[in-house]
Amino acid sequence: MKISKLTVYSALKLLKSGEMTATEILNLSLEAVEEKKELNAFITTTIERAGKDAICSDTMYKDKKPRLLEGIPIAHKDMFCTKNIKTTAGSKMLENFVPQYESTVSNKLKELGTVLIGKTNQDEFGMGSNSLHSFFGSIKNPYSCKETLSPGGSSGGSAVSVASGQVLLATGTDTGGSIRQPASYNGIVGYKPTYGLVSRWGCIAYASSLDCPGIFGKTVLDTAYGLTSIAGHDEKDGTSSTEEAEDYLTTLIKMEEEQGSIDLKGYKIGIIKEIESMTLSDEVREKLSTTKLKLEKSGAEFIELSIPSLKFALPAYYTIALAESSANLARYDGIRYGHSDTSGKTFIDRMKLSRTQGFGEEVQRRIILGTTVLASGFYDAYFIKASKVRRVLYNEFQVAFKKCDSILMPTTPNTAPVIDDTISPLKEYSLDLFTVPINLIGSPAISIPAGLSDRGLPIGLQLVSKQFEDAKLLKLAYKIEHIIKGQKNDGV
Amino acid sequence: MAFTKAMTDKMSRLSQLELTEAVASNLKLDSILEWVGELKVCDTEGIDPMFSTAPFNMKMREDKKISTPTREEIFFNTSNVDGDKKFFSIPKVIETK
Repeated sequence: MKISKLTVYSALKLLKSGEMTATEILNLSLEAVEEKKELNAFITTTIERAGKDAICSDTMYKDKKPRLLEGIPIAHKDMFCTKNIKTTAGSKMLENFVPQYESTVSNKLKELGTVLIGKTNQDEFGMGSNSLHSFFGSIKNPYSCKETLSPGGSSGGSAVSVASGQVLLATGTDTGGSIRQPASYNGIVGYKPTYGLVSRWGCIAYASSLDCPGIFGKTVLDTAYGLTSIAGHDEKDGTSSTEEAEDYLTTLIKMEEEQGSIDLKGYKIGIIKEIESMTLSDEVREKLSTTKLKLEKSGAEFIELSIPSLKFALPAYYTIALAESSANLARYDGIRYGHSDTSGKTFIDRMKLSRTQGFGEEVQRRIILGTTVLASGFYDAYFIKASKVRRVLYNEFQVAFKKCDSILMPTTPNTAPVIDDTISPLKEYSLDLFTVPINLIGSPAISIPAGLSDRGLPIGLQLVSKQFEDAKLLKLAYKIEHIIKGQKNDGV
Repeated sequence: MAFTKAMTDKMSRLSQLELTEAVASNLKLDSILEWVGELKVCDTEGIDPMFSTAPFNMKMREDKKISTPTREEIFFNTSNVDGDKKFFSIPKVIETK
């Protein structure tokens, strides 16, 4: 047995029936971690902690008190602070940072019985679309053959750890597509919840009005297990929704158990007409079109929608995200925590030296640009203008959501590109073309595998719904997943 | 708009980064700023800026005692602490004549 053959759902069945123990599943996971080391998915592995977690899970099964994810091997993006476990955000700035507290997301998953395998590699502070900007080296897409392919970013390590069969579930953060885009490049499912549904407390900040913790899994059902575990109000996060989290799991488990025929009768799915004229590779365009035909055959009605300001989403997103990141990263002063160079004579010298040495090039670029768009004389022309464009986009999407249950769009304009560390910033930013609009409007979105390209590379499509319609979105995504059967679930 | 030397110096000072002109040029700041400038053609007449999508109001938390980190926990990730381990320690910031 290989862990790559398992899903969260099937592993829980084996654990509950006693056919496998949590320690046995952990051993399979650790074997895979060792075997796939060259992918560089992990910054830190937590083998000792995992052993203790698995023993605890085995006791819980023995005592017939298993929790929701008892014994499931999981990895956390290194953005989530984990008590007494190094948390770096992929940066030299936090190379030796050991949090003395646990993030709400990792704490909830711990309390529900997961077995922590380690902390995953990522673009520094979540800033990047290829996982090239990590102080701990770049990550390799498991679909790479002759050439090394991008795993996507910024949560590249989490996506690769699931896709290559090292863990069954992984957390990520999605500020402009950092879950959905790597999920698409690695042929797995990536879920970005409604903004505010999952607490950001203890998650290292990039852009606070856009940052959204979420989940990677091999199937929609697996991500529903993850969302069920992490959703809900947290008084420690001022933007955490006070609405009761819905039941994301019961309907899906019922459908999985019944294995009945699935159709889309009564569903209205929106397609944005402006995407037709946007930069999109032929293989993704064709996959979108063939998927639409399959879903129509299953009874779905397609509605043409117009989002005229979609073309402004990318520059609006980068203006807002960079502004927020420059404010958030001001906390790294080289004094209280993080990289510290004390050779400077004054406080300002020390701070400048520590920040210049601790932050990588992409982070410095974003801080400088973010500082610029917030500076006197530029604030109205850039930051306020982008925030107004954000509302225009939000309003257009709300009109569109009145006409359909969900919108189907490409997750990325292309399949995983060959890793190129000379890629220009603007070219890298353009990879987020279809993901950033969703962060600007706060909606939930899920990227599901739609199959492989002619070159054998995964193509993901995303479904987007109205805020707080996460349960409805997951149900539709589950149905579509079973109709298009785009997964390759046994690992790469 | 171009990143002049004066602008580079100003942004470097505001963001507390050592940014030489050569580094600034390598960061390709001009082209990115020009690109985000494309937003000006979007009609936003009469539109209020949107700073958050959270459709809920922040509520006051209950006025109750909560546990806060200990000094030991706060100082765990730094060596910039005074001899008594009570305060963060930085070079003197008050100038004397």
